[in-house]
Amino acid sequence: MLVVQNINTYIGRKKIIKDATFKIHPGNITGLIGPNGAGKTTLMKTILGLTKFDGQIQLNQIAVTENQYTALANVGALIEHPAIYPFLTGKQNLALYAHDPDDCQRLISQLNMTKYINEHAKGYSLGMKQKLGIAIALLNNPELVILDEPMNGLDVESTIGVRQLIHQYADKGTAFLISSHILSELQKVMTQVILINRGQIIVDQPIAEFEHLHHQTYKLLTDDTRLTVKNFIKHHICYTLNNDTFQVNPKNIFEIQDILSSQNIHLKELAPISCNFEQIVIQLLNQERGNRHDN
Amino acid sequence: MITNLREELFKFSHQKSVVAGIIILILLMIYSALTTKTDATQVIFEFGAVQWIPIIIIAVGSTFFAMEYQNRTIVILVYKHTKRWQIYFSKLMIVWLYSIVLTIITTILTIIIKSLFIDTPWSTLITNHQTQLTLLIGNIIGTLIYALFIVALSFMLIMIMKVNAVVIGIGLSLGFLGAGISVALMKSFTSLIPILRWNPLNMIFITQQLANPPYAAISHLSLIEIVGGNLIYTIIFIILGYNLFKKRRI
Repeated sequence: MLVVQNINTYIGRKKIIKDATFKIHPGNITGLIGPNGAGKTTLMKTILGLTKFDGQIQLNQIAVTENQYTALANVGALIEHPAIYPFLTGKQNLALYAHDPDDCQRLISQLNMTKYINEHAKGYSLGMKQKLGIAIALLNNPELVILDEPMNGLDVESTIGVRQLIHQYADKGTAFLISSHILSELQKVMTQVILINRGQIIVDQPIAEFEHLHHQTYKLLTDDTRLTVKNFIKHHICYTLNNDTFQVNPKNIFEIQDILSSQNIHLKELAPISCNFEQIVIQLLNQERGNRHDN
Repeated sequence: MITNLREELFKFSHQKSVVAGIIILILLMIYSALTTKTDATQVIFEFGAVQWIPIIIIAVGSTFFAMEYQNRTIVILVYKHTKRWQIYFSKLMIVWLYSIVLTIITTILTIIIKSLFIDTPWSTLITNHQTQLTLLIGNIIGTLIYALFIVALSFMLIMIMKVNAVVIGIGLSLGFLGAGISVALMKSFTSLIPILRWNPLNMIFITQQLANPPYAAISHLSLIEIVGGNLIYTIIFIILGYNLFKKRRI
């Protein structure tokens, strides 16, 4: 459905997104993850044709360009801040874009906005504005919904409600591209993960495959921590160190054993440990930084 | 395009500045009628409304566009609509329609005030052997053409300045000092009049010259030239403003 091919996005002359390529299929919930300044929002804006870019973006085989948005007729989005007119009521804000009043009313009920929907949006709290922004994005049964930090300012009940709504829409075939810093929340909904760092996509995998491939890391304990660190640096081995315990990538364990053996460093412990999603992401980012540093 | 116009009209009609503009204009006209000598000239110039309408339009118009960036609604506005020019053109049309509404209101109010305070019949010959009614109609048409110039200018300025307070400031200076500066320039550099008479500040004279052709001696532009000048400037401002809008970072 959405095809992003070799996209380079520029702000001024600076290249923010570098050669991004990925696809999103109907019903997919794709989590866009990355550190601050990685290019998540810029990538989302690019898909909406809001930035200067080269490469190809197609939605249902129709191209999106900087000045042609026909392909985006069935796309909903919430980018950075909820786009709300403060001088209109919540309902008027929705009515401005709604094709079907029943759809509008259903979203109001599902997001628990009935109490304040007829008040001017000027007086809304951050969470209320956020819910209204999400409702605008979900109007008219979109084919693709782009949500940038949708859980910002939401209380627990609303977060659960939004999550259920995302699942409900995805079950009907709506595709989602969602960025969030709350990885645990994103983990509960996403079916596909895209990890981006410094404008480059470093992972694009179904979540099951991602967890299977990256779920394990190894714990390592040696009799000379200082010398081990020295050798890891020398041989460009990625690691994290907590007290005297190293965490290393499974793909490096044979090389590590050879290095340590050649330096007469003895292993005290080498064992697999499970990582949670956040730790995997941190590891991958560290690994990518290490690789870039090497190059 | 019709959807665009409908959406823009909906937003525009809900903005406080729109109603405020109408109320301020009515109050200024009443103030003018009560504090100055009510005569035929006052009627022709709609009790100062001819001068106030461009200022109100520049303030309301620039606010109407600037609020899309302030509220971040520009994001939805752009991607929800097929073409960017439709957004720009719809806004332009709505603000120009507002100038028509302002002109209709001021004309009705002028008729009411005149019927209350001035006995001179509409058919009375005043300047240049024209009736009070002809002069009034001339001024109304002039104001509407100048409104096009002003709307296009305010949109272009908001794309350049990005802050509507600055644009409103420019609008006020244009309304109060524009004509004076233009005349002063042409008096100071008489040899350059063939060029200076085309300066944008000189275009404001259309509001008077259409009713009163002898104003050509001040503007140094014929009736056709001043109408053409206003329309050409409008097109230039629209082209420049739209290109800035297209390139403006969202």
